[in-house]
Amino acid sequence: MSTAAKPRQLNLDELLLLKWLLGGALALVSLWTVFFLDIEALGLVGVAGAVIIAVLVWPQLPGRLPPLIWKLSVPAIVIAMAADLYFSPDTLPVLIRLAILLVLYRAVAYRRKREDLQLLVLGLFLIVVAGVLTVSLGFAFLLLLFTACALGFLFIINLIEASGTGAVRTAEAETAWTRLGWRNFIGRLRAVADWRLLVFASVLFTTVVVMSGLLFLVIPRFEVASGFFLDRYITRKSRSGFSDTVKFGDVTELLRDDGVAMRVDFTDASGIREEPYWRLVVLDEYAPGGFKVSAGLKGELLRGQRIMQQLRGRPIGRKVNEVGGVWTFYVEPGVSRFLPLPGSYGLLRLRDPVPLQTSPGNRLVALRTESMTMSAFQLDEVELTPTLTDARFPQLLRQAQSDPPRIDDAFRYDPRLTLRGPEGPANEAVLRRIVSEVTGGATLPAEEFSRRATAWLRARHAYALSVKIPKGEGTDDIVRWLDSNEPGFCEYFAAGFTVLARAAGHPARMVVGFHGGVLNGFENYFMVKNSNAHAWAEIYDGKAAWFRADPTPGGAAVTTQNNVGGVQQEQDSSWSARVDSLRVLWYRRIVNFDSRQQVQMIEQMKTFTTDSGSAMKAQLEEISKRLKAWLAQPWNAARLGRSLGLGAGVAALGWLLWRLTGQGWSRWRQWRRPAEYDPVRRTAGVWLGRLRQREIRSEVVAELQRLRYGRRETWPEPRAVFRRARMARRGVKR
Amino acid sequence: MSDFAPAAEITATRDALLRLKANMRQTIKGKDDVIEQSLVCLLAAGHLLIEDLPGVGKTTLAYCLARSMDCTFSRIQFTSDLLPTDVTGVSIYDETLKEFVFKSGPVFANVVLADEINRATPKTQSALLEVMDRAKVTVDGEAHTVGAPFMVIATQNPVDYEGTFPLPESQMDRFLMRLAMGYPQPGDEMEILRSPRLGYDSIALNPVVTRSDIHKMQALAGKVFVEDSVLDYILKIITATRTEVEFKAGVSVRGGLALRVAAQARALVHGRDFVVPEDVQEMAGPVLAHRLSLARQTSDALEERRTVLAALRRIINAVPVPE
Repeated sequence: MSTAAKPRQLNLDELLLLKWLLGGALALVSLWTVFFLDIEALGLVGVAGAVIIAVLVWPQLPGRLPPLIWKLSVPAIVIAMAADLYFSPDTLPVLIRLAILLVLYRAVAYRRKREDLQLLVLGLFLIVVAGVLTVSLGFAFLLLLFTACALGFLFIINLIEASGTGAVRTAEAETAWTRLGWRNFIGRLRAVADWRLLVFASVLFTTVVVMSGLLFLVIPRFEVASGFFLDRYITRKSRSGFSDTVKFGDVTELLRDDGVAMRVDFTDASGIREEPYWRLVVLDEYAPGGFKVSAGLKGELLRGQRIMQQLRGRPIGRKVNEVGGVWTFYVEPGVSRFLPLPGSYGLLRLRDPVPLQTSPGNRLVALRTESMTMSAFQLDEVELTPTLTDARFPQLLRQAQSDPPRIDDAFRYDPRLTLRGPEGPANEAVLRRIVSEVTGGATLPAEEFSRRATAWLRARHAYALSVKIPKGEGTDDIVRWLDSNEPGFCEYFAAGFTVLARAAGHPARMVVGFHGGVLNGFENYFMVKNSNAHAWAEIYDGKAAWFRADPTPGGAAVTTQNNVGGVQQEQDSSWSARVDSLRVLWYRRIVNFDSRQQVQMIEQMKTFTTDSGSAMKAQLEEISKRLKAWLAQPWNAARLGRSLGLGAGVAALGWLLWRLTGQGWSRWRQWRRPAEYDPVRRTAGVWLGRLRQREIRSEVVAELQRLRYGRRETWPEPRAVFRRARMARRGVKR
Repeated sequence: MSDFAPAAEITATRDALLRLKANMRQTIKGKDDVIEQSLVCLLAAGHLLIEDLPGVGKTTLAYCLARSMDCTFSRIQFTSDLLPTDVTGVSIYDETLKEFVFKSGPVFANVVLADEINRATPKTQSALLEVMDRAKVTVDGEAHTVGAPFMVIATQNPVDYEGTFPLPESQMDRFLMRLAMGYPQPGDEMEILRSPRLGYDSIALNPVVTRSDIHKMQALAGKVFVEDSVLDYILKIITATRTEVEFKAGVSVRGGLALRVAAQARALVHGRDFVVPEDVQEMAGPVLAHRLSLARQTSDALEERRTVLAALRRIINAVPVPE
């Protein structure tokens, strides 16, 4: 009979209260996952969470509501959903909001088994949707939490089912559990909690998690997000400024955002000695408010769109100064549809075939749309070169100048845009004056011009995050800024430089992306934050390549060669870096886990098992060989004595360890239950058990009983009693 | 007063109990365990209910116990027309004194044998309640103390429901122990057959302990030491009866206390001044069984008793013994 076997256990009412608690926790965990989704339900989640917490704390609340409210709630939910469906452009948010309402309804109403299972399924729906759409580390944590709650919940439901047979309970008795009170209940839980039960539950939970992990290893892989239809049902709002148009100030806004933009994982960090420039978008067209990607470039990208899983960068065979091994990028959702590229590369690899847009001349690679989830890709044979070879550009430019594209053919790439700056006589006059100030009237090669222009800009303008543009008529903002002494930030420096270069007749363009990042001290990877956002310029050398010019104070003015000497990368070994490294492990092992890696990992595991197995076998063989050799050596008295002494020493050490462990264990028990534990009583109990086993009935049993159960003041001398007990046992043995 | 039980007194008690046992054995053949349990009940200052089939020696046991002590003894044969005043006594108007005078009933004795208690009406049965609980009788607002020591030994027949009134649970709870006699072994029965005695009057027993001996022994039983782990053991058994689905309700707090007192008394009967778990195990059946009723109906009282005892045994086997 189970009840007799476990005298300390919860009664039915306490089980019901525990079920209520677990159900509430389950609902809260599943609502929490909605925070991971970028949908308009946060207010609803907040209210639902507050209500659920309230009824968790006061379980009597639902019983006090008039029955009319319960009757009306289902039609109300249906009406709310219909209205939501009518007004909302997307389907999935409506479904999620409906699920939130249903979870709320189920979590606050008293439940029987059927409703309990419904709550579980609704929670699971929210968890799965959030998981598929975000694939974040937080989701893994919530999933574990949910699993634990769900296991406990199902266990309690079964217990209640098993204990509640036959008994017909009145309506009054049905809700008796709501009046138990948390203080008493927690006291009862503590009384009932048994370390064996806890160990069993942990083992069960770990087994479930490990089994799921193993299953995850062996099941065929598919890309979760693209495998489902779900992400098409949410319109996503971009979180960062790296779209096709960058207005002045967009990058600065990002500088204030401390969120992580991407993580870059490499197999070998030793060669990286400079802060990489992560190139995202090329802005070739000047507009009075800022630079933008021209329609022609967009057209070129669109025309270059192919469904690809791999993309070749550099032609095969070119010898480069390769660093970093394989670079794996994990770009956070919402950063940009353009892929950040630190330099030239041999091969770009994605997890799955996706539509990719490319522009080789601009070295741009973009996804069709901004990814809803974390997007990952790999680069092989990366060279952190500041130059970008584009031999076709002069020819294209000449062609465009002799045969200008038609006005209506806006989607043809127009290289002349890289020479076009602010127009109008006022603008041009100012620019001409500044250019002559920079060059001193001479026609300079692009490299020299960049150096001088950067020096001029840095001498004239300081760096600051807030910028005041002088008021004025007839000229563009950037021209007025150039002509002033106002400080500026990277975008102004880059834009100013580009405008000046164009005015001087050098093709130039503005580039935005990230600069630098922090090397994580635990796992080999770069963490690039949104605050690393940066803007710089590229200027054409007139022959065959674009090179990077970073006029912002603090940046390298002109870079045409790899920075070989460089400085040692800054490493982050803080606690937050440790936590962040876990996220990268999650990305490496779970999110970016494709079939290639799967096979690799299974093979690794196989090799590890066989290797360690054969290593152990070899070791055992070696040991047995040595033992045989040692035994075969001639024996004399001295050697025998030495060996015996050694053996005795080892035995004594073992005995000592055994005793110490035993004492430690008893100390622990004494510390845990000081009132119930007394070493003499315990030893007497052990001896009573031993003598009972051998059915010894001698006077020593009475003495042991006195030691075990008698009043302390009446005890005989314990050691003597134990000695007699030992003798009594030996007597029987003989 | 010291809490200690002096060794000399323990030995004296043991001797006295041995004498009592030997004396009772002269008449009660082959029922040493029942004799011992009745002595435990005596030491624990509890009341005893003997329940079994007619003619197995219930009354003889009570009679022998009473007669072996130097105490007053009275016997009440319970019948359906027995009135409460027939038990407790009554106030009668005395013409000569011109006032009411209390004429004490048969309950005013040290050992009272309530024979076939379930034949009386509940009203009469409950007249016994106050006496058993407080050793006092209140008549016309005046309390009269009955003898000390005071012990009620009741007998009842479990099968014969015709014309009987089952004892209410509250009254069952007031009996420390319930014993069953059982049939004697063939050898013992042969001895009984051989003996010439037929009626109680022919039982000739001499008292072997005095009234003050009984007082001392009862006081000593209260001083028997119960170690914490043994108390916890008792608590666990009691709690287990409360969660056992087979029982309508678990053992009351009074029941738990009774188990402790009985275990103490048994330890003393065995010459110990401390309780061992075995005392608790042995006493659990007699002390707890009559306080428990089954959740489902059974065909008769004997079967109910068997089922309750089996469930109790299961509980005792399952609760870990303090080692």
